[in-house]
Amino acid sequence: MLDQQREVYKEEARELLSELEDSLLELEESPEDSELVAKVFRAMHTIKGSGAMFGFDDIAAFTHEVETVFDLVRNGEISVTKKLISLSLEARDHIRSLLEGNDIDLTKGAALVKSFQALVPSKTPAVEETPRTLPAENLSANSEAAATYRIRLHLVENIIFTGTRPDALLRELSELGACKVVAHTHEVPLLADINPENCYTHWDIVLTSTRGVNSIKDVFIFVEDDAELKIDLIDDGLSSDDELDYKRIGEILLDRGDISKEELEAILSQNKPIGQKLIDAKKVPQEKIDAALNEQEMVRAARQQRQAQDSASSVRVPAERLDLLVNMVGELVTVQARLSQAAASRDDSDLMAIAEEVERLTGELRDNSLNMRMLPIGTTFSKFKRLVRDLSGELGKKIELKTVGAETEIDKTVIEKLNDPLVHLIRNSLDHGIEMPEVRRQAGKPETGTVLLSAAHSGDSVEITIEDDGKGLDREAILAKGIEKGLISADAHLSDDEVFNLIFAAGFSTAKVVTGVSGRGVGMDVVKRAIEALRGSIAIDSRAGKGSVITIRIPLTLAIIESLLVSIDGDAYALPLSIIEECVELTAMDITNAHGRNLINVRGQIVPYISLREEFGIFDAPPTIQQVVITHHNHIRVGFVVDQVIGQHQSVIKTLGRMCKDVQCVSGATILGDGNVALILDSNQLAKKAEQMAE
Amino acid sequence: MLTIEQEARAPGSLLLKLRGDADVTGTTQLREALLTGLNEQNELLIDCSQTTSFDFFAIQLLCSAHRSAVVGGKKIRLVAGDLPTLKQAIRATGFARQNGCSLCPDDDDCLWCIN
Amino acid sequence: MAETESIDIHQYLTFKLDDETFALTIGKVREVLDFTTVTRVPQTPDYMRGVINLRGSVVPVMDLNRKFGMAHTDKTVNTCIIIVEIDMEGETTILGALADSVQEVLELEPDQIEPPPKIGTKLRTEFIKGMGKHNDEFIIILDIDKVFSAEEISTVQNVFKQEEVEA
Repeated sequence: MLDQQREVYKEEARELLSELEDSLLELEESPEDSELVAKVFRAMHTIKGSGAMFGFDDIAAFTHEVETVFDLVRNGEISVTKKLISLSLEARDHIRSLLEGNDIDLTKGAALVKSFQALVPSKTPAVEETPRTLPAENLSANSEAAATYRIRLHLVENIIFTGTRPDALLRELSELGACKVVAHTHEVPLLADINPENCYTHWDIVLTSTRGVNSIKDVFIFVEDDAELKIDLIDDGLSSDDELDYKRIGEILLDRGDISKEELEAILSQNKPIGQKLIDAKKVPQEKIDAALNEQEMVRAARQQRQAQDSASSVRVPAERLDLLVNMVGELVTVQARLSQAAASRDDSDLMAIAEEVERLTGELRDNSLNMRMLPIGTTFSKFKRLVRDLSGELGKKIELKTVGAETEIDKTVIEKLNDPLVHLIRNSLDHGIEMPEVRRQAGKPETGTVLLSAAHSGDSVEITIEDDGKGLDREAILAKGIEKGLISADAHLSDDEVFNLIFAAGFSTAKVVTGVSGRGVGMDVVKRAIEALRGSIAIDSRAGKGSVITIRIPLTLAIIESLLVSIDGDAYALPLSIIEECVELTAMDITNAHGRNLINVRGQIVPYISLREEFGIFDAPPTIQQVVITHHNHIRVGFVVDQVIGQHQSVIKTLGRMCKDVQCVSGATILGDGNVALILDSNQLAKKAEQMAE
Repeated sequence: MLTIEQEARAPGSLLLKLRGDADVTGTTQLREALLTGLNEQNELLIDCSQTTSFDFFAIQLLCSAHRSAVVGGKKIRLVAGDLPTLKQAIRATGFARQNGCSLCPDDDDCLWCIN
Repeated sequence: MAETESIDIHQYLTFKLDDETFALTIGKVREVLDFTTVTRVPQTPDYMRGVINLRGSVVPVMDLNRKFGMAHTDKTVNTCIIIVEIDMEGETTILGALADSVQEVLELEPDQIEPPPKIGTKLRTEFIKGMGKHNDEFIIILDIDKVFSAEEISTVQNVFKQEEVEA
C-alpha cells in the first residue's frame, strides 16, 4: 500500500522536477519575474512536504535547505544570478538522484548546501518566516527605502468619456517621486485617420518612490476598469546586485546594435536602474529601451499563456493502455473495410446503410484515438535548452538555442524515439559546428552562436530542422574521408548534396579529435537508422563558413495512413495519398514521343517517371494505356507508372517483418477489405530512383 | 479656447500660430489646420509662443502630425523661442526623445528632441 | 493439424517437397494452412514467395523448393503453408514455408536418427539436423532456424542486388 503511494509521489515529484528545471531556465532569462520565483519556491516546497510525508527524509532535508534560500529570493533579499540558477539546477539534479535512488553522492548534497548558504547575505537571514506575497507591498508597510517600479499603462481608446485626463494621471504619479515617462506612439494614426479625442498612446513609466506600491495603485483607482495596469518592482533599493536583470535588457540592446559593448559595460558599472542610466548617459533613445523591454515582456507573456494551456484539466493514463486502444482501433478499421466491401457486394440497402454508419464512426474513433497519442514536441525542446546551456558552458562556447514550432504535435512514441537522435545531432552542432567565440568574432559573426530547432507539419509528415550558424561542413574533408573509407570511388562525380550526406554512411567519422562531448563522429549513421526506423528521412545541407541545416521528415503517425490503391499486374499496392498530386494517362504515343527517356509532358512541365512494372521485374506486356501517378517529393515532381488506379484506402500499416527489412521500395503492408495483402510502397526510395534514371 | 492663425512664409512653407489653450476642445480645429497645412505645403512651422497650456491630446495630435509629415516627406518644426510650457508638457506626457524619435532617429531637428 | 505445447522433441511433422520427404520438429510448428493468395514482394529473392494475411498479421512465405535449389513444382490442391516459429537474432519470428504436401506427425527416437551426411545431398549440411529413418525411407530433418537465419537472408539479398546492378 505504502509502496504504491511512494510510487505516486515519485511520479509527481518527477513532474515537479521537470517543471522546476523549466522554470529555472526561464527565470534565468527573466530574473525579475517574481511569479517565476514564486513558482520555483512552490515546487520546492511541495517536493519537501510530500517527501517528508512519504518517508523520503533525505529529499525533504536537502530540499529544505534550498527552499530556505529561495525564500530569501522571494523576499528580494537575494537576487537571481547565473550562479544561483546553476546551483539550483545542480540541486534539482541532486534531488532527482535521491528520488531515483541511483548514485547518491552524499558529499555532493552537503557541498551544494554550503554553496547555497554562501549566497545568503550576512546581514539579515530571514529564514523561518511565513511566506509573503509581493515584496513591494512589504516594503510599503515596513520601510522607507526608495524603490523603483516599472509601470505599464494602457488606457482604453475612449478614455475621455470617463472624464479621466491622462495628463492628470501622469501628474499624480510624478508627485510620488522621481518619474520618467515614455510614451509609445506606434499606434497613433496619421492625421487623415485620427480621431483627436481618442487615446492611442500607452506608456512605460519608471518611478522611484518611497511611498510603496499601494500609493501607485491609488492613482489609478478610478480608472481600474478602463485601464490595463502592470506594476513591476525593478529595484527594491535594498540589494545592490541587480546586475543580472539590467544585463538582460542591456544584452537585448547590444544585440540590436542600439548600444556598443563598451558603452554597456561603462553604464553597468554605475549603480542606478539601467533605464535611468542609459537615458542619463544619452546613449540610447528611450523608445529603444522600451522596445527592448517590450520584447522581453512579449516573450514572457507568450510563455505564461502556454503554461496556462498546459495545466488545463487532464487525466493520467498508462501508456500501454493507450497503445492497446490504438491497436484495437487499427483492427477495427480493417474489419470495417471488409464489412463495407461485403455490404456493397450484397446489394442490401439496410446493410449498406449500417456499414456506412459504422464507417463514419470508425473514422472518428480512429482520428480521436490517434490524437490522444499526440504530444507537442515542445516538451522535448525544453529539455534541450538545459542540454545546450550545460554543454556550451563545458565547451567554453557561447550558444543560444532557439525553438520554433514547439506546439507542433507528434505521436508520443515518435517523440520518444526521436529524443536520442536529436540529442546527438544537437551535440554535434555544438561540438563540431559552432566555433569558439574568438573564431566567430574574427569571422565577423556574433560571438553567440545560434542553434535553431524548428518543427512543423508538412502534409502528413512532420519536418524537424536543426540549423546552426557555425562553420558548416568541410566538403573536401568529407570527400577525402569517403574515398579513404572506400565508400566512394576516387573519380566519382558527386554533387554537394551527395557529399554532405556521406556523413550518414556507416563507418564514417571525420572528428579529428574524439571529444568527450559527442564521442566519435560515427553516431551519424546510427541517427540515420533511428530515423529510418520511424519511416522517416534525414538530410543535411551546408554552406562553408555559414552553417548547416539538418532536415528530418517523419510520418505523423505510425499506425494508419490514407493511401491510394493502384494495381500492377493484378496485384494491389498502396501509395501514401499526401504526396500524390494527380494521375494522368500514359499512352503508347507518349512513350514514343519521349524517345527512350522516361519523361512525360504534363501541361507543359516535364516530369520524370519510373515504371513500377519494370522496377518490380514484371516483364509481361503492360496494358495499352497505363496510368502515371504524379507525386511530389521535396519540391520535385516524379511519376510512378501503374496499370490502374483503384481508389482511396485507409491503410492500417502492418510491418513486413525482419525477412523483408532490406527491401527497398516497400515500406510496409496493409490488409484490404477482401483479406488480401497490399504492399505499401516507399515513395521516397522510388522517387530517388526515378530522379536517377532521368539523369 | 484656441485660435490658429496662418501665415505664409517662403514658398511651400506655412506658419501656424497657436494662441490660447491647446487642449482637447481645440483638437478638431487643430487637426484640420495641420492636415490641410501638410497636404498643401512642404513645411509646417508651429509657433506656440502664445500658447498658454497643452494637454495630452494636443501633444498626441502633434505626434500624429509629425508622423504624417515624415510619411509624406514633409517637414514640421517648432519655432519662436524656448517654449518652456510646451517642453514641460512633452516631457510630462512622455513624448520627449533623446536623439530622435523612432521615425527619424538621426534627426537632431526632430520635433521631440527638446534638450 | 494441432499445435502442441509440450516440448516433445521426438515428434516431427513430415512434408514433401517435390518427391523428397522432410521433417520439422513439432515444437517449431505453429499451424498448417491451405495455400492462399500470396502477395509477391518485389525485389526479394525468388525463394521468398511473398506475404499472406494471417488473422491480421502480415507473414512472409518461403518457397523451400527454390531455397533448396530443387525443381519448381506447381501449386496443387495439396500445397500447404506451414507456419513456423524461428529464432532470429534472439527474437522469435513467424513465417510460412511452402510445402507441396503435408504428411503426418511421426515419432522418431534418437536411435532412429543419423547425423547428416557430408556429401550426397543437394542441401547444404548446415540446414540438416539429421537423417531420420522411417519405414525404409530417409527423412531429412531440417534445422529451420539455420535455413532462415539472418545471414542467409541478407547475403542472398545482397547477391541479388549485385546481379540487378550488373544487368
